[in-house]
Amino acid sequence: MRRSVLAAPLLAALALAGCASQISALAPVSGGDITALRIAAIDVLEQQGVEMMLVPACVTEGEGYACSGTTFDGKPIEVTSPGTDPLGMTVTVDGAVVFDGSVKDVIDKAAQVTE
Amino acid sequence: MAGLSRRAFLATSAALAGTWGLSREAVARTLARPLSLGEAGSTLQQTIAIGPVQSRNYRTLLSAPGEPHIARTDILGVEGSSTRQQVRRSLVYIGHLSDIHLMDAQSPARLEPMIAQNHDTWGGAFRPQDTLTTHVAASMVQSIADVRFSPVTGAPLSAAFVTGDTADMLSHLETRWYVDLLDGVPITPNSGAVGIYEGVQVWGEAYWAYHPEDPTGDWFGEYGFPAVPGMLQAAVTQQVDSAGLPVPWYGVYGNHDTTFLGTLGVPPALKALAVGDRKAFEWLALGLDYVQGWSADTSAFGRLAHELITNLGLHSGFKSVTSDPARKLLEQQDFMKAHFQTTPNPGPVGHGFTQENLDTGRTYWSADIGPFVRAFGLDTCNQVAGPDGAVPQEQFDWLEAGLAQAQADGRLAMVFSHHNSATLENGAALATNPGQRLIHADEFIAMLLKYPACIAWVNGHTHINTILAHRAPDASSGFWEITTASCIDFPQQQQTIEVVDNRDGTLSLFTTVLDHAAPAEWSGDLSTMGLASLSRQLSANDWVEFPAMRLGSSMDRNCELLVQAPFDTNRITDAMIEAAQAADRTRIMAYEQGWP
Repeated sequence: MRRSVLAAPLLAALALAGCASQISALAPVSGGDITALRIAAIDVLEQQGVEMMLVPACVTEGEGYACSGTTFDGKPIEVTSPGTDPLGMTVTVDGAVVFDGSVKDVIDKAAQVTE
Repeated sequence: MAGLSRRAFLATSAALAGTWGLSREAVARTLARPLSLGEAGSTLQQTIAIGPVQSRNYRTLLSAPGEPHIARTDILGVEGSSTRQQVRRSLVYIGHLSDIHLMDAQSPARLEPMIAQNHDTWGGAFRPQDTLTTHVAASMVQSIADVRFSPVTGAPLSAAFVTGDTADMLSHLETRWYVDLLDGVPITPNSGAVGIYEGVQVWGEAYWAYHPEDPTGDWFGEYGFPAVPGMLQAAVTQQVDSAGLPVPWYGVYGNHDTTFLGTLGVPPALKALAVGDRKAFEWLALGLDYVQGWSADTSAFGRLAHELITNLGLHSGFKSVTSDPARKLLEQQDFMKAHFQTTPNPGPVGHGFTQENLDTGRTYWSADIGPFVRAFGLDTCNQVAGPDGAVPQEQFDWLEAGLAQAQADGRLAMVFSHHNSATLENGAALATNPGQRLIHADEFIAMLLKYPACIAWVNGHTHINTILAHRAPDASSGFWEITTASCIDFPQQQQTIEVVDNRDGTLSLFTTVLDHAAPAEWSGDLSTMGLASLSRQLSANDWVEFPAMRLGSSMDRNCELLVQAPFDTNRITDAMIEAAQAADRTRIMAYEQGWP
């Protein structure tokens, strides 16, 4: 989700050519971090045997993200992430922290990466 | 055929045999047999996991256990009935492909060198598996054909939908390969010189590219990518045979089918570059060449830009290649037109687009899929800058009227588009009507929720398996948003979707993820299937992206998605279902016998 600064000559030429819209076109496809967060949160809950009535849905909250869902027995699931790089998250079920750590580590593990 | 009377059964089988030129007895025998569960491989039986490090950072892939369907109750808010498995009836079973990204990797109109400028920003401009996209597509078509009978109910596949980004770089050749591979027409995925690969993967100057003959010293060799002698030659010289889809298939626009690299406008100079005889290996030379296209006007800015380019003298970053007029870039309507240059079977000619679309320039359509479902194919691309999408007001109004009509007609509605709710946020003005209001995700979802007949919004774009629940404010209804991964990036998966009636006031949508048919573990084979297998392995080692994320979670893959039935499904008789399935089963018989 990063965007670099084009090298000076090309940037100057792009700007001079009146194609600012083309520079803005390099914006990445939306939604990468928040999608990763949701996936990792579900992976954690699955690994911990939490049965979900409402799978966590995530929204942007300030610089970070927040997700909420419920268990089959009606307990709230909350996921928060400060949106920092690398992306971290805290997952709670009924107020109890069940995970606090790296989004990427969770996803890599779920893909059954073998070291 | 418990639902059809004997007389109706005989009349139906005779009519279907006549339609497809099949033996009346053979059709009757087949249709008299009860449905049996599809036995072919899907991720219900086997998945593919990222395996151990082979060299430096490079990992291979391994077979892993299958994943069963997991019930999701987000929309219902309660558990499904325990008896539904015994009484459920299949209403429709479809294939869903997206983001195939067929690629003419030798085209001069590619931006590969830009990854040297910034790999993060330009990750899609070059991938090590760029020459292997047709092989993956053929392997995926085989996979869809393999699951032509449902693993849940045994119902026959009725149709397949392709939700955009079939071409990668807006190329006529790429679009041609897409239609041919889905139709089952063999292709040779080459352009330019006959029998020779010409491009960055054999040029030493392109240190940023993967050189499969010998990656020593390039970025990918540093990472640990293997030497695969003969890969490029095999990729561009061997004929790629495709099984073809066994069912009618339908397409919609993706951003890569309407803008360059799915993002950029097309200046005239780029069109000339596409069919020309020089291809870039340096990013600055290529970038300035692109800019020159935009500076071809006579404005003061344009003249200054031209001076900058000329004085910088950076045109040396090109090599000579064999030109090929077949590489010309698509104009807006060409993508639709390509759908009419197709075989009569599996059809339909136009693949959703009609003569009216060609006449009016309207790029969206609707079609009835069997007797119970109406499909709406949208164009969420704006033909301007940026990868993301939006729905223009005119199309939005058309869809809303269509959904209202589907509800009145007692048909389930499924909406197909390229963009999903995370990416329906492009604010760029519509090229063909700059004043038209654009509708973004929240408003679009709210409109779909007004029509309980709409049970699914099926899409792609992000290359990530994702399933989201959208529930009406009063919790009385909702729809499922189903996003599939791609054929280009790991895990190179697509899916099937089956809608079943649980006969308890609910429906279930079964999503089943498909790996393409090529082996999980690459054995050194350079046949079509071998190259497809290699492509998947190469894609799993994309260190710029996050390959494992694209698998999604288990709640995004093999799922049973419960939703309230929008009307009393008792009006759908068993005889109606069996008649519809008889038509689909007979079509598949015709496919298995090589079409009439």
